[in-house]
Amino acid sequence: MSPVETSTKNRFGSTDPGAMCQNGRQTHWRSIDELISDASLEEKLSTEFPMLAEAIANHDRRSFIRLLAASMALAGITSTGCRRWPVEELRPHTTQPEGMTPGIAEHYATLFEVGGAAYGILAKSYDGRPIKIEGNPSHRASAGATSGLAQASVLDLYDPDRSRQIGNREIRDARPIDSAQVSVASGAISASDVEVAWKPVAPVMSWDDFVKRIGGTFSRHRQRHGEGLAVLVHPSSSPTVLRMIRRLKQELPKSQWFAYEPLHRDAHWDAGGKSFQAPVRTHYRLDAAKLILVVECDLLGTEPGHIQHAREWALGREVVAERNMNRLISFESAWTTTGSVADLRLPMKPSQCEQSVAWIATRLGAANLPAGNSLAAMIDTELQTKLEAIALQLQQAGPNGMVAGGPSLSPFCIQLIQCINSKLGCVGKCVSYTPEPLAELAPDGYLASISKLSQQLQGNVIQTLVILGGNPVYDGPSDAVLDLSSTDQRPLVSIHLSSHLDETSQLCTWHIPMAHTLECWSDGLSWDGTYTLGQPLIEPLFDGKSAIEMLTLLGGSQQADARAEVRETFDQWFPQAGNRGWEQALHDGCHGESQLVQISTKEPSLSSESASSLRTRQNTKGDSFELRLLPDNCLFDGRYSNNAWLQELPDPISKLTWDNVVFMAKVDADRLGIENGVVVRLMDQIEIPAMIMPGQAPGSIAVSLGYGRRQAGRIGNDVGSDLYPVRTRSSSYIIDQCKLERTPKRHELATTQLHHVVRSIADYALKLRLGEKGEPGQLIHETTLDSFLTDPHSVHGDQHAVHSAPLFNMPHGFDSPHRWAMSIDLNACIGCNGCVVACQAENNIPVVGKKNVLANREMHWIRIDRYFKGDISDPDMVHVPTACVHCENAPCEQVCPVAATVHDTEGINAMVYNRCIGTRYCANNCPYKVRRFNYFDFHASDPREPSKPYLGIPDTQQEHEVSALKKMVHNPEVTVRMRGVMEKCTYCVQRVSEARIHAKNQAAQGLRESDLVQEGELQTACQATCPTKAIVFGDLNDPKSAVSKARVNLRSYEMLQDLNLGARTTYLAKIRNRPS
Amino acid sequence: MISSSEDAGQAEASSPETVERFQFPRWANYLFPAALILIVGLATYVPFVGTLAISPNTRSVGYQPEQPIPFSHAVHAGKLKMDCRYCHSSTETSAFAAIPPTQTCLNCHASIKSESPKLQHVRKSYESGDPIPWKKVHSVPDFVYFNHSIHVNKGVACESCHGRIDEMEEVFQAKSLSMAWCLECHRAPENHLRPRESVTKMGWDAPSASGKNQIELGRELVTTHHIQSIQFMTSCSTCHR
Repeated sequence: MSPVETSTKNRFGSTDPGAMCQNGRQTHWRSIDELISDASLEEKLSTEFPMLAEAIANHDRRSFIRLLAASMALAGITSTGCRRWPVEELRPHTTQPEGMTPGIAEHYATLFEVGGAAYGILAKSYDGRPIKIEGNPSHRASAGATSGLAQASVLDLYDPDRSRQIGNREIRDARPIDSAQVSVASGAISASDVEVAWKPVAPVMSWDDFVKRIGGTFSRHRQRHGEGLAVLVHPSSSPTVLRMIRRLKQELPKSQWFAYEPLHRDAHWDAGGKSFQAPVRTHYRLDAAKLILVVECDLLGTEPGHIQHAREWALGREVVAERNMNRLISFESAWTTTGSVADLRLPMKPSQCEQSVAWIATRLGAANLPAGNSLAAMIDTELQTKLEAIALQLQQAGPNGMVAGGPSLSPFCIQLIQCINSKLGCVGKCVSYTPEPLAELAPDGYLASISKLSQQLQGNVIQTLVILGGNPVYDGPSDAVLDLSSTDQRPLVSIHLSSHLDETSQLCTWHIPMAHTLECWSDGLSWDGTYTLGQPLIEPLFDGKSAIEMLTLLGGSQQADARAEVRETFDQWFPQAGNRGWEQALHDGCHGESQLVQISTKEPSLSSESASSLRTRQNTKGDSFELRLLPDNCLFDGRYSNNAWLQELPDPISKLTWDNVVFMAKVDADRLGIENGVVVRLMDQIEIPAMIMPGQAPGSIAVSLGYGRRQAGRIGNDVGSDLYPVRTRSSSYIIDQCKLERTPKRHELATTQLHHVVRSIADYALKLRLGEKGEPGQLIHETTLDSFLTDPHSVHGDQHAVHSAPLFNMPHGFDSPHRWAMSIDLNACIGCNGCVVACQAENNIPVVGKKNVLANREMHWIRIDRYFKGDISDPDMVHVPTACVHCENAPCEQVCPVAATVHDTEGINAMVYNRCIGTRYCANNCPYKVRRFNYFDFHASDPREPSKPYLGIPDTQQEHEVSALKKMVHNPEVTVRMRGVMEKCTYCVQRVSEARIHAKNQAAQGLRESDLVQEGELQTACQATCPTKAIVFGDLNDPKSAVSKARVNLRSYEMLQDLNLGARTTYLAKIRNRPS
Repeated sequence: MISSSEDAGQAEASSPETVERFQFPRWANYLFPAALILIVGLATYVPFVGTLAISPNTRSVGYQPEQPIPFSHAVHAGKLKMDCRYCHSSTETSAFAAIPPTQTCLNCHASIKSESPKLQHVRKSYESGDPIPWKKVHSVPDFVYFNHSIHVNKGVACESCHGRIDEMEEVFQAKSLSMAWCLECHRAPENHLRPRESVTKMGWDAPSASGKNQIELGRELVTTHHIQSIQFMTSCSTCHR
């Protein structure tokens, strides 16, 4: 026997991680541990069933057998097999509503609003239950797509923790409010304390009772022309709300009106005021731009209007073959989804971002800065070279170039950006300005508004405060605390309209349950100004009221008719429309003729005195950092904390679930001796675990807001750390000198970045898959635009080389009229997670909870793999959405002992749940790792509690344990899986069936020629929601279908092609338009 | 029977070094009768359970719950020859063949037998708006996604699955609705297909209606109705999701 040669090199062919970073620029990697080949990681990954590790550790053999015996005995006693299924009742309508056919879902056009922008959506209603949100194709600003937030909003409707009744705090019984406020802020308040603090006057108080009790107070205010009455509004784009407020301001001239939202755009308004004498809203036309520079701006992710931005950006990417593809450059301190798809991303501290903007403005001659020379001194030569190149490109692009700035920038920096855009000549083309409709409520900005309210509450000016939505006690600035206490010297009646009994409700005298948008009439303006209508699909489940109804009550009328109010606004906006126009608008969800009027383009006026407001500090010595506060990619500002789908949604960048962390650069972490999961203390106040993020700008750290809620509900309470207590009026987004100390504590982080890793144990296979030394791997094909245009095949490396022919025939003929297939464009995917939530909603996918995520048990059928590439300090990122690829020659089918996974004739790899016996062989044999196993009956368990085995009759668990309310969100077209079965992407087989049957029925009835499903009649859930249209699905037998066209695209490739699996899902390679 | 005598041991003990011979303990005597009882028990139990499992009773053939209203299909569909689709109107368009709303009953019964005491529940339902709680007779498991419209449009008759409704005073389940029963037709649709216009006819048969025998007509219909391949119709995903 010859001795086997052993290698001590790591799998990247190098023993030294540093060396690897330099020469391994083509290699993709998923985490730092993977990059430096950490031994413990190797051990974890080589475990055959990492998800079983905990289960095995927690049960010894004896207790396992005992449990087994007990369940067998129980099954025997109750004779599981010998029961007739329960008697069911059929309850038809007494009078069938017009146009309704039992068994056919209906779609209603309505709206979803977040961050002051409305998005047009279609809500799917099944037997009167809204179960799914789709994009509205006739709505300009949504272009048929939706965000993950909109998708998840349907779960909020059926949240069991929504408040169910009007409540009143017995002021005398409560503890001194000041101390309560302090304890809420410091987190010392416990659930039992809250029960003490909250004593509803009567178990159930009707709206009428409330109106009776509060009516006297309101009429007293009216007699005094509104004196003593203050209203704090959670900003809404609704023209009806604005109109009613305008009316009330006239009727009650002495009343005071305030508005506040934590993720404000005050800097933009301020800059608009300075440049154009009024707050302006900046609109971008990304499809017209060829060079897009974003500065601390998540244009495609969390910025309002992002759906339209993403669509337009993707349109500019589709033209790969021509040299016309757009180029996206991002300056940012922390990763955003926009930065993650940027062709060039320069990680820099927030202050450096602003300096760079100033430098470019000076260089382009857009602004004459007295500090121009000192700027150059502050920016090191290396960066100057890069900025010089970018400035040059901007100059070349001229009117085709544009710059966009985010809300965290200083007003002066935003003015500089306006100057650059003017200089480029893109104003009117890629960039336009309109008046800011939201500014009407708070012309000086939300911060000024809430601090004024805070001051007013100090004195004895306000007797009644109405808070319409929002949660200012939780998310307000820490130096503008609202004192909601009521004392004998200063009696205060506070009324809070809110969906949950949240932090603010706890301190208010009255709490009114708020209606969900799917429960009430509403309207709104999308970011581009399209008038959007919202209609109810269901009666308010918990007697909730909308802001419109509350405003009617303030106006003195007892009976609110929100529909009539919205109609009145509509008639004012579109006097020509009439009844027919109203019905058409209701059907379409929007009125096409509305748009904001562009303000006349003129040069922004820049006063050099304000130049000093530019962030130019760069004193990050020792343990002081520039802290960037980010809107959370999943929870936004914290209002979605109690949404389990969003809590378990892996963050697009960190892949973290159920937590927030402080992101740090590797160099900073090494210097302070911090590892992933080490708890650090920020500003001596906040304790939060750290996560090392490759590509985070050194000297800066970043945390997302929206966590650490105390009164969110069962899902959202005490998840992560709350950063609002350190957020002040002057530091809304950036805290300049943030002290960071290491603590000895550790916190377990449930990140999915290394779950379901497409890898094999063999080093050889891994190199093949992830690539090595300049060779692209098989998972991700990417190249630069230049090399693609020189040689289109270079994108696939040697992957188009000869493949061995299979030794046996493919097991299926697939001679059906349809051959379903999917194509995913990596060049368009921005990793926004819309598809993940859409799939979850469509396919009844359960939430498993943090403990189970830690054990690799998350159930998402589609996951977005995020890979890094290149140097650890400044890597590139690739998002790879991965779901079952429906191999024609599927490895899972070959190992299933009970034929529970088999092909149908149209190419769908079907999963037969009632055959599955749970061997999990299929998951083991799946090279893409897309199969998910139900370890517990997750639908019946609380994600915040440890999963417990159910000892009753197994198939009765869901009936007994899933609350009737939570069940309402389930899609009746898809089986709700029990524990013990495998599941995975089905290509939305329910939608395929529906489309196929519809086509055949129509053909049989003579309503159409062909009985085949035509292109455009069928969309999978992930495809329908995708803002960039990165996912296309269709019939390969139709040569004109988008998927057939994608197959012949030069960028098209099959993942793991050498396995000869015949995957039906193929990918289009990523092209980076990198400046050479 | 095994004996546990001491003599046998002594006979073998020729040398003191010999290992003591294994002897069955006394209780082993009961193993045989115990095994016998077990075998006989299983031999009765297994066929018993097996019979139960395949008995038409278990499969719900003949299941006839009592309905809240004494509605007679024999009168309406049989004597009056009303078309099924007058009441079950969504059959051709929806997966679900709708149970008619109360309004449908009163379309006729507002003038016919409007005072009948049998109809008092119907009138009450219409006035109060409370639906009539009909008991579901034909039920397939939740993982089966049966679609009425595609069957009706492809020429599968109501009668094929529901039996002679026109002869039923109160509806009962006539067929087993088991998967094997479904597959009988999905594997050989020509045995059951009809022209589309005859799907709601009761007691229809091919020779008297068309002059051809069922197989002959069925094969023609498979072509003209674009019935898909047997492979397609027996794919799992055709009925399960």
